[in-house]
This record gives sequence, structure tokens and C-alpha cells, in this order.
Amino acid sequence: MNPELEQYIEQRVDEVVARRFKDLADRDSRPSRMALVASKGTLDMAYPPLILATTAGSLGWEVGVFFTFYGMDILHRDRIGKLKVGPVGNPAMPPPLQSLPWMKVPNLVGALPGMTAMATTMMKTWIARAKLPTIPELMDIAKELKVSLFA
Amino acid sequence: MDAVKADAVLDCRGDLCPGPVIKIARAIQTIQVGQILEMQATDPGSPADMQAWTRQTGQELVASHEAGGVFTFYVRRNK
Repeated sequence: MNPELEQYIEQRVDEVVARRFKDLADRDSRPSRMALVASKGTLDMAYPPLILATTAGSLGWEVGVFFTFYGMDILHRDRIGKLKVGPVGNPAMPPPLQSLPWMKVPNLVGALPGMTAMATTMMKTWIARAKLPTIPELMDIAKELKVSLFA
Repeated sequence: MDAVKADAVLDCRGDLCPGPVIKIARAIQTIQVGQILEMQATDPGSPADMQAWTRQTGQELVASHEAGGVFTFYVRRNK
């Protein structure tokens, strides 16, 4: 091969390789990003997007949560602290009691007055016992971690 | 290992995943770059969490050990 051509090819290859490596390095230094949708306004379903958002935020990710439909209640000043969980239409509710594992509560019972309040109280007890943050606390952590909130 | 001297201590005992990760992400901001934060946790997932967290955030896991179900981590703030 013509030595001049060979030298030219070598020089070009070096340039391209250097550029490719730089592109790769730039890509790796860009923070990971995550977008989440919060569309539910119940106490249990408010947790998943906020747990994921705060965890990803703690890892240095760029996170955005889009609040829509009933998820807007999580942003509502007066409603965020009053989110409830209802026992109706959820086959996993109520979970069997450890002391009475054979006791099955018919779904219809969940429709009685006061059952939503009771299920909510029960869930808040578990949350406190598991030392999990409350929803308002998670929102404060999310804001502190600069999670972007969209509505 | 015990020669590592911590500048601050964070107690995450009893916290479940992702509690320790969220707490340390906030606590690391309270110490200076180059200082070391000691963190204690009982969450069995915490060793894997701490490795992932230090790798992703560019902090350094200097040392760690476990005794009686309590994991202790020493993290140097790199940035």
C-alpha cells in the first residue's frame, strides 16, 4: 500500500476512535433519568411512584413524576394527609390476621359504613410499625432530592 | 478495618429498603468532601444497596462489616 495512504488511514482511524471513546464517556457521565406516573389517589397506590422517585433521586437520577387523575390528591395541600385505602374490590383485602388465619372476611363486609376508615387505620398502623415514611414525608424527601413534579 | 475513623454517624437500624439509601443520600450532603460517614443498618438488602448507591453516586465505600445482624458501612464523600 502507498505509505502516504497508510499513514492517512491510520491518522483517521485514531481520530475516529478517540471521538467514539469520548462519546461513550460523555454518555456514561450523563445521569440516568426516570419518568413516573402517579394516577391513583389511594393510600396504598400513592407509595409506589414516590418510593421509586425518592430511591432514584437518592441514586442521583433525574426524576420526574407526572400526577394525573386521582393522583392529583397527592399534591393537594388538604388531601395529601387524608388519603384512604378502601377494602372493596380488592381481593387481597383484608389480609388474614395472624391470630385468626382461618377467618375470611366476605368482600361485601368491606362495603359497610366505616370499613374504609378501618382499613385506612390498619394500613397506617402497618406503615408506622414498618417505619416507612408517610406520604407527606415522602413528598418532602422528593422535593429535597429535586424530583420534578408535574401535574 | 476499625482503623477507619468516621466524621459522622447515621443510624438506619430498623429501617427497611429503601430507607437507608434515602437517608444516606441526604446525610452525605451534611459532611465535607473527603470526610467519612459511618452508617449502621439492619436491612438485609443494605450491603447490595450500599454498593449500588456508592457506584451510582460516585461516593466511595471504604469499608463495611457485619456483627450480630447489624451492618456497618464507612462511606467517603467524593463529591
